Amino acid sequence: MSPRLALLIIGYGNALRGDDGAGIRAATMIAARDSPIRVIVTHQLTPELAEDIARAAQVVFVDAYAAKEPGAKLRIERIGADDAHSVPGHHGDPARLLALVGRLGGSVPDAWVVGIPAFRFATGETISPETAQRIDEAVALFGE
Amino acid sequence: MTKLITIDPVTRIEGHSRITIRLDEHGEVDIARLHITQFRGFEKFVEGRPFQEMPSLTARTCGICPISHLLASAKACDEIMAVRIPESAAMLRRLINYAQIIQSHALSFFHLSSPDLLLGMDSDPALRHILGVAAKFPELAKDGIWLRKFGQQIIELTSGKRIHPSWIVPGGVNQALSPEARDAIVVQLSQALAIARKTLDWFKPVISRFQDEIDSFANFPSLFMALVSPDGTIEHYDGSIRIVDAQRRIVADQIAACDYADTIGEAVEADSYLKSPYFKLLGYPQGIYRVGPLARLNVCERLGTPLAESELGQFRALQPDGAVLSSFHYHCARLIEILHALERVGELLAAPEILGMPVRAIANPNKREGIGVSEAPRGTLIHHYRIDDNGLISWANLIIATGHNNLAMNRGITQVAKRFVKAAKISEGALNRVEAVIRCFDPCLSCSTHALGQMMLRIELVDPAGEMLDCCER
Repeated sequence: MSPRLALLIIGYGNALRGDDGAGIRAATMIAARDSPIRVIVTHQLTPELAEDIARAAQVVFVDAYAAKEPGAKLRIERIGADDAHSVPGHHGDPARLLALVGRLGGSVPDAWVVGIPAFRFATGETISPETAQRIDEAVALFGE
Repeated sequence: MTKLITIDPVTRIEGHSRITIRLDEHGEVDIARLHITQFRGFEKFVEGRPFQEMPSLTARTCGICPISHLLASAKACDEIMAVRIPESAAMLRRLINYAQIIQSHALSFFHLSSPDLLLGMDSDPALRHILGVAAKFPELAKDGIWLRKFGQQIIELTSGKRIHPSWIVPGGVNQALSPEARDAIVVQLSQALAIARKTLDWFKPVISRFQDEIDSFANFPSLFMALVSPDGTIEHYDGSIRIVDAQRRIVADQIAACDYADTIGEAVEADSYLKSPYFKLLGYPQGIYRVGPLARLNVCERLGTPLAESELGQFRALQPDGAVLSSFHYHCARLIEILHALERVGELLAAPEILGMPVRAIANPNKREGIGVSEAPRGTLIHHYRIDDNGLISWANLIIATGHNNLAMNRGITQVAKRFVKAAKISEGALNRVEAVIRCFDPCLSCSTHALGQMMLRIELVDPAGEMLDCCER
């Protein structure tokens, strides 16, 4: 069995819908650095990520959230496993993925969600300047 | 007075749909209809784009089976360029197609359908999902997750990305396979084969527990269509079209991709965005046929790999007098195809040519038209393009696996509704069985309506005047 990872970052979103790709952009920037952090970049959360999560001591989910006001900040929340709701077939949310890890007998890591405020969701790969700034702040959370 | 039941949305499938069930004056099910309520419009909005963009554009049709679209599209572009792609490129395309089949079939069987099979059709829907399976059968859930991940790893190791890689291109692929990537796949093959065999060994003895579902889940005579090699061996990447009847008699054979339109017609119905292809010789709607794993096993003469071939013999024994007709057996066919795909992956990776170069033929357009056909996890996939003087797409037609099965799915839900819906209210068990018959086909509505998101279900029960009597929604 491979040794347990200290930290796993999972960045996800739709890179073709403007700021919705903020999680992907942030995770890609972290992955590009010479760092021991394991990074997974994905369009959506799927059940097979449970195996990777079970191998980590800590996991951070990086995603966009729809900002309600212009100066919206990063949201950082600690989360736990939640299997109170039914699970869709091939996508889910962080709490349900953690629940799956637990159900499969794995050790549920400490987990956080970093939410990056998103302002524009139009078709295209362009990130708004406001979200780009928040992405830089999110990346900085994991060191330079 | 007739009545109508509506299921909207249908759950644990790919895309959005609605089912209506019409009851007759006696309260008995008259007919059920599957309405695909999402629209994509790919065939139209690709017009005017350079043909070389088509693999990447059409791959965006779907996040589950982009590889299938990449392959059929690239094959159509190969034909427009009039090139024969290098041998290593063809092998690599085959490799990634098998990986796509492994991951997609694992998703369908373990994630979407195993809750019904393991926890029961009538079990609490709040627990009838992958978490419920993980709680009661953690080893099987782990196996399913591992197997799907393995298929995706092959795709990633080969092409650089799990979803929407740009590696498959007109003329071949854009990068050779590295020895490191090959070895990383090979080292995991024995575990994958062990899981596939273990799952089949578990599933085969429990099939008989579902006799009611076997009898009523789209169990009727129909034609079956799939690709085969010249000697009748199952084909997933190349080959020609063969159609067999319910007795497994060949009714059309060795139909080249370029001649598909002589054999297959496409009907459009007013209540669905999903087209209804049919076998032209029998006309519409009598020319009903099925595609996908069940069809491929019914159509071929052999699988050509030892472990899967042994399983095929047992599969044929399910209906010794002809084709296996119940769509419930799509599940078993899917598991056998996983085994076959894993064996083929092993064969391909053992050949030194898999690491060979070159892997791409370069050419300008030399023909105005190109047709690409391959077997996607859900069945035969056809991409057909025409271009103008500047190499821009002037016309496109996509016939998607789920579309081929549209007539059969509609007949299947009518059959299962007649068996399980008995009043003007829909019980939970009946609701789930109507959904489950559709899940047998593993439809991908995102692909077939050229929409986004998971399939949701709504069932409506209406009277003869069209007034809704009951409605179930998930």
